[in-house]
Amino acid sequence: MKRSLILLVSHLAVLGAGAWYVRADHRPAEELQHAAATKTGERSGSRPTLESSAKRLADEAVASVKKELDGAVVRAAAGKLTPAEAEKLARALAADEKGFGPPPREELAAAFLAWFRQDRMATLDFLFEKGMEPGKDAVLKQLLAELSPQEHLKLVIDRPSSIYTFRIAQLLGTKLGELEPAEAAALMAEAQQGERSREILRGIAQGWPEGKADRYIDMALASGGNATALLQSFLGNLQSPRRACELLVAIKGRNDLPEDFMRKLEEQKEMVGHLYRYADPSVPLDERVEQMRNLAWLRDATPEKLREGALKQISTVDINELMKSGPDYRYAFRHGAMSAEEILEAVRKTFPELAAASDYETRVRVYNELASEDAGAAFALISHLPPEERNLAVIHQARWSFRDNSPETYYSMISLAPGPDSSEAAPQREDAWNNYGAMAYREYGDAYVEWLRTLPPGINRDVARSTFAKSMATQGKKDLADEFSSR
Amino acid sequence: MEPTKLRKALPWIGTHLLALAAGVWLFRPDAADSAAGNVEAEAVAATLEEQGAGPAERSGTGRPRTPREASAAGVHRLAWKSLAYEGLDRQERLKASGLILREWVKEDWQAALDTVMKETPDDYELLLHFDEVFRRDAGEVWSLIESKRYGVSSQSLKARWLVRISSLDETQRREAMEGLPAEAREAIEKREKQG
Repeated sequence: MKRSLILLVSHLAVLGAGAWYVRADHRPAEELQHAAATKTGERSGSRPTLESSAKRLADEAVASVKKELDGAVVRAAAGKLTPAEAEKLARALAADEKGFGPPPREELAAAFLAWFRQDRMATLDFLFEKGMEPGKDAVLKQLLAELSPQEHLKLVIDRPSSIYTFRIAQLLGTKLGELEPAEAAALMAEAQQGERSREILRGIAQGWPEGKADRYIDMALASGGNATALLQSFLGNLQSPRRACELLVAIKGRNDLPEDFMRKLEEQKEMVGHLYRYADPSVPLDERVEQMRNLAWLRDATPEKLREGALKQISTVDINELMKSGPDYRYAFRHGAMSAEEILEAVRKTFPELAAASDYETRVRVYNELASEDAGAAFALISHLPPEERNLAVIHQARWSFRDNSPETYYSMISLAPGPDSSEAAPQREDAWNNYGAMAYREYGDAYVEWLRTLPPGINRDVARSTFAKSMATQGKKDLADEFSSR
Repeated sequence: MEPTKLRKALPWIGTHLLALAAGVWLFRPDAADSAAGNVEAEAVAATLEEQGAGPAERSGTGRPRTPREASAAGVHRLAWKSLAYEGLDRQERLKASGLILREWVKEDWQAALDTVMKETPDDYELLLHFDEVFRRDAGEVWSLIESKRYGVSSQSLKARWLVRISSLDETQRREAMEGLPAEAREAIEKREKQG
């Protein structure tokens, strides 16, 4: 009996050893259990176990989107193509399934480059023929890298006015930012000739390299009498207020700026306050708060009220910007890769000054961003707040969500504030439903009306229906107004 | 070892070697993956059904999936979810999602569509990867819309489908509209009038 037991154990041990051996290098230690992907903010605790084919697919996708064109390879390959071959190859590769990527393809960029060297206009006409996309933009950059700044400017002037030519002007701006200020100023003077000068200057300002506003100022000063117009062009023409604010930060402490520019800036207090709201987070928080006093609604505020109002807006801007251009935290939250608390922690690390200044604002803004993904899971961030404060935070979030939310999602967010409402909360809830209902009716039409009919009893049903009824009455839709005005 | 003892031990050495081979065979990676894949595919299918994205009720919409398709859906779905762990920024992630969709749409566009429609509406730009499906399988797509498979969000799908059909040239549009029910044709005509 004892011997049989020993034999059984030893056989099982050997079988186990075989299994261990064969699996040991197949599955990395971090590959853990898999839960079927669900739309939830609940942290799944571990990365899903990936089948090798799934892992390969994901790895390839990530590598493809990270890949950048190797300029040296592109130029070398282009040098080997005859003009006739180049055009034929460019057309063929652009039309095949891989197209402009991702991943970007050196052979395709090389074919375009070789063609461009022979016939710039025909190449660009073909490149822009069916609109632009990121892959085409990568090719365009390779083509324009061939040109001297003078040739590049000539191309901008020679091309017909269009969004594509505007893009070429933006890339000229990137190039000018690398030149000596006097050289860039001479080209800017040339760019200001002709009928399309405003459009070209706008493009150049928008393409100016990030973090180099000081060089733009130097270039503007080198241009002589034109400096004020060029500096104002930078402030007014950048689509991004954060980028425009770089110039305000860069002029600090300088005493070589034209008087009329400084005088004009004095008259533009509202703009200055607005731009500092969007300033790069590397600008000290106290300075941003103080500069926001330029805004009319904060001009006479007490220091406490100024700080409170400014922090609310700065936290909204910074955290929203991070969610748009930083790591895709919302996707990570949606698929259980990160919990709300983990994202809050990442935000704190990104904005330590803000987090130290107001844990409340940081927390509530992160909640704001995540609630549309999974309201219940995001609620953990604010559940400890006193009831009235929490209700107001929830309703505020519903009023100022930056997302397109389906009615179901919207309802799940605003239902976290169950009512009854205080005198402060009630008009805000009404405003929230009023705005959302109008938007949802535009987007979903009758499907929204049908959905509204199915809402369960409660404060949100009452407010959603009454505000919708008013909206329908205003639009002259009497039947709907009558139906929804009754409870 | 003495020859007699060795002779006596030989059968046990043999059975132990067999056990070792059995361990290697039973737990070989592709077998385990295949089993895991099936479980995952089932789990995914179960999740989809739980969340109301199972086969639609109307005829013509809920084509039963073959086991191969279900397994492929599991692979693509796993890859899709794993992007959440990559630290990509939003634009990179959307591009990576698009690359996975490119393959997925070829294998099982309906499972791929279910997945996109379960993301938040600001990810619906990924629906451009269904342009070919919208044209080729216009009838099936219309059935999904009509069955309200994605709740109120079916309207968002409808809007994008209409844009796609309206953008086709005359011949392709006529082909796509063949066999569509009257409501679908009316919706397309209305969209075209709006420009």
